[in-house]
Amino acid sequence: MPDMEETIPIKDEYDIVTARSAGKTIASSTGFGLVDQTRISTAISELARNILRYAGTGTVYVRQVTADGRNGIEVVAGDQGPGIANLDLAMTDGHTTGGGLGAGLPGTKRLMDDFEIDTEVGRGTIVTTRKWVQ
Amino acid sequence: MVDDGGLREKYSKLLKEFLESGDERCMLDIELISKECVRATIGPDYMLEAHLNTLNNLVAEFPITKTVSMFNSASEPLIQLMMGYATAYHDYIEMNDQRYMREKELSDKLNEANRLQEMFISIMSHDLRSPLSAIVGYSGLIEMRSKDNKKIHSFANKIETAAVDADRMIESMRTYSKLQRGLSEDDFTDIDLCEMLSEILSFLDEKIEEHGTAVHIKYQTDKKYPVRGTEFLKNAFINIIDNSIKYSPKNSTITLTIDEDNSNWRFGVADHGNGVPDEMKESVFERFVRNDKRGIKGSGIGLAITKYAVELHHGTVWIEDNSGGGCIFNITVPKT
Repeated sequence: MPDMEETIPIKDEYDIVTARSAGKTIASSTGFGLVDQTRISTAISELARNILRYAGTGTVYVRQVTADGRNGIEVVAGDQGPGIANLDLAMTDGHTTGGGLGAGLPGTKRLMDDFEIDTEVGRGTIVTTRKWVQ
Repeated sequence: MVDDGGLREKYSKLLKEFLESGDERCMLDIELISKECVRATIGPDYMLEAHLNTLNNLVAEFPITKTVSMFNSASEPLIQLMMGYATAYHDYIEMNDQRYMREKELSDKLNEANRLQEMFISIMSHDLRSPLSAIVGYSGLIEMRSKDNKKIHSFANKIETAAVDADRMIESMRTYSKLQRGLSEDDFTDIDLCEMLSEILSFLDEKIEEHGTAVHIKYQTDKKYPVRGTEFLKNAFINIIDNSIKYSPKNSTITLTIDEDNSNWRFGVADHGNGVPDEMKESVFERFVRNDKRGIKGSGIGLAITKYAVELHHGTVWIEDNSGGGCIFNITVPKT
């Protein structure tokens, strides 16, 4: 299986749709069912929306991954925005002021299996998430 | 019909559009709709209904071959809708949990503050009382032994009066703090208002005499006026009668009445003082508000205690103008 990957620059609302579509196509080829595909595309929405909201522009990178004989998908959302000063607060549900319910990082973390965040104030944020086919 | 701000109709349109075009944008919009639903407390059942109704309408329009594939693709928007619900509900629940924790923390702090306040008042009143009784005692002695020195005699008298006032204020604070804790059923006993009033009048006897006040009793003293009450109810009655004496001109009359008022006894004390202006008729029952301070003693907490106590007895207290000048303080208490 040739590894599928897609890089989607995020600069407006429509790019969220493109990123979701890409995520869904790759998730489907990786062997995820419809519910997981929806989890993944919802997570992509959240990450891409965060980029638009806080950094203005950024990139969503989606690719197939394998580890320990398992197939999965990796979604990396990166931006060069302001970074997150208080990570604990940002990971608290309901914290996101602009997004309201179900928005932001905690929601994304719940939808995916792995979740890592690398952020530096003034430099930007990279969120790496993975989901594995069960 | 549940008013959903058009959310079901929006979903229905998006579903139709998605089935026709397969456009991923519809899915993004559906994700947003589900969050709005949680915010507007529109349950998933209503949206499921909207989903099925839309599909049923489409079946009527579409040929049978298309219907099968339509039902296949229709699960995708439905799953997206539920996924949006799921993420929003998780947030909602955790936000509520956090709010509950915050509120609990605040209420614990408040309870602790109340406990400290009570402790403070109890220690303060206890510790202040011993020096005060020394002041009262010794100023009384000086007063007695300085009869031939008028100046010293009057100074000692002033000290004694001030110390007695301070003691009364401390007692009021204690009562207020006790009332704030609320009353329990065990605090209540059967009380006859008539008997209670005669006790109060003998308690205030000295003051009545000092002011030359004539007390006019306009209720049947051989009748019983039973209520359920506590020592604080008596306190409330003492306060308003004491007030009437205090604010009346010397040698004037106060009139006490008890009337039946549906399921209550209405007690009134009418005086011929300066009265209470309308804009103050309610605020005098707040803490530390006094209508006219000049030359009249009090802590400014007496009427607040009265109101508090009466309300804890399911009664009411209010002031009205006395047609003959002055005012009438009324207290109602449920009959038993």
